[in-house]
Amino acid sequence: MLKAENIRKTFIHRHNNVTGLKSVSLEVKEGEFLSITGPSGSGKSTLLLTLGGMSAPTEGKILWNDESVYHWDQAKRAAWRGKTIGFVFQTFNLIPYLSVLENVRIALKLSGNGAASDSTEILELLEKMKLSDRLQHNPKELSVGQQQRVALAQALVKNPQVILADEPTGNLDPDTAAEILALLLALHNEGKTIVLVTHDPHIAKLAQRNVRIIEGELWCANNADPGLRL
Amino acid sequence: MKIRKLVLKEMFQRGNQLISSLLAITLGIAVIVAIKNITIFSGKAVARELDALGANILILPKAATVQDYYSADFQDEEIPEDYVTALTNSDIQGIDNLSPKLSIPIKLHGRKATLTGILPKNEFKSKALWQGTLGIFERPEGCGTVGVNIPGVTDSPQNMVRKRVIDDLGENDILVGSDIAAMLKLQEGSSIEILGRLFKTVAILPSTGTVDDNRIFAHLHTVQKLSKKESVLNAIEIVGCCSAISKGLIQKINRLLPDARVVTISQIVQTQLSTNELMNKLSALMLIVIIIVGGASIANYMFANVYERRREIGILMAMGAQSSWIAKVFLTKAVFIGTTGGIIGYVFGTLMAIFLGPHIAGIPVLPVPILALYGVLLSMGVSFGASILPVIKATKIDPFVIMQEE
Repeated sequence: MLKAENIRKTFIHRHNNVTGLKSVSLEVKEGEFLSITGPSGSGKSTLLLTLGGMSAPTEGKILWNDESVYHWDQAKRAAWRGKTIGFVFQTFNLIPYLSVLENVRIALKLSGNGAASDSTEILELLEKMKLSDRLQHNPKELSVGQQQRVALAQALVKNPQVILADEPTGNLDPDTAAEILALLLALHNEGKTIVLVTHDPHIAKLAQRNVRIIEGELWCANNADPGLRL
Repeated sequence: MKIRKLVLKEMFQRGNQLISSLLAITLGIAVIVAIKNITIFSGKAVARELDALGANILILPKAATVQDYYSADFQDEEIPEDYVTALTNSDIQGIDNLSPKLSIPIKLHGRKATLTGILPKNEFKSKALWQGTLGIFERPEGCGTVGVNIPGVTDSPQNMVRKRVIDDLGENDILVGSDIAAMLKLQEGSSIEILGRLFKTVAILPSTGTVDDNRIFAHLHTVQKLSKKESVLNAIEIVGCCSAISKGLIQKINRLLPDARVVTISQIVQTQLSTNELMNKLSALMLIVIIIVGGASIANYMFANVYERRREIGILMAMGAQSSWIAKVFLTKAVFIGTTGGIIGYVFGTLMAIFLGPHIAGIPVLPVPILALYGVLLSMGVSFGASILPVIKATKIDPFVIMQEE
């Protein structure tokens, strides 16, 4: 379904040339719940953004149903990302001047998967996310847990095939984190493909499969220890 | 959610930045509207003064000279009155005033004078053939006094007399030049016999220092009858719009009336042209200043806005926004700033002009509605143009780099 073939990614960060990924190959199967673990700066987020069509690899290919995502033009890739991929970030990344309802609405509009005025669908989703009483609130008026639920609603409203979640519980207290993880598990049970980046091995264990990334290299790690290099 | 709503929400959230960016373009437009407004009325005031110098185009019989015109010594050289019809029925534009004349030398109490027949304005209106063709008197914007009515200025009796636009003149009425009136001891209401006909003096003209001071003006058709020269003239005076003259008004009249002699009084035309040129240069200078200052201010604001919102741009791209959509968001904002700045700038500029015009230029100034359109278009153009580079920068943002900043 979503495949990385020999991905190498270098970039300039604070005037230094950094190699984020070194010849990474990975396949995400349809309906799979995959976790990617690794220490800070190991390349987890870089891999996630590259998989999601947000950043072209220096070498190698990202394949979606055997088509190279980065060989498409920018418009086609943006449209694919809008329809197919739902991102969830650690810092929520909500539009600060829009209300909860508008944040979700704009995500639906940009995806092209539904009419922006499809309010019934949006309201049902927000009710499921326990945000019905916060529709007109701006992000800064919400708790961090509520903000992450809005971010998740943004990702889900367009009914994406793949959810790419980058440390979605990193800023949350344990109870709220448990709520978000429960939501992700429920989504997986509904058949969604989920790639979860986390540095927490306990959370990684919730996934069907875990890979570990260390200094830009991918290791098979179905348990907590670094295992075979992939 | 529409782009317009997104843009408005963002702008009102960052109210201080919005006010500072609007202030720059608003002040710029206000200043240029105020200057342009005062310049327009100042130009019209100058045009009124220049009009007082008299006609700048003469249509004379082929064999006549300008000297003959000033001395009223045409020696039976004539042109048909139909030339007036030809002119009023033509599509020629840029004629502010058209005054057909028949001048004949007369003697009054042993003193030489000139009896000049003129056609009052109501004659133009009364002739069915000329109905609907008075558009010929419509001057283009910024060229003279027609179409602009400033109470107490344009309709003052002195101005009407100076421009020789006489609305009504009876068959037995005369207007008398100051010198000849003094000589003959004529006053308003007094009567005098000329060529066997008794005329009533309806006005004594103010002194102009020209040959007009020694003329008596009567209705054209009365003078034609008295001189037995039915349906002929010996001059048509035209106050032509100077910009129209520079765009070939003379040539057009020449083509229309090939058997007449069309001459310009070059000194008057040159004065008008150079005055208008000065006004236009002043406006152009201000236009350049506003484009540079307003444009730099908006560009600076937009660059800062793009930088501040780079994360938001990354988020929108992650949601599937294409570069063109991001560009639309920022360009819509530019258009909104431009439109708002233009409208507010026009209002402030007009108020400035109305209050400051009389003090600066010594003339009453009224609002010029067309400046609202120009102000908004200019403001939108500057705002849009100044936003192009920041918008390109916004569309080139690499979301990966932005996300790495976490």
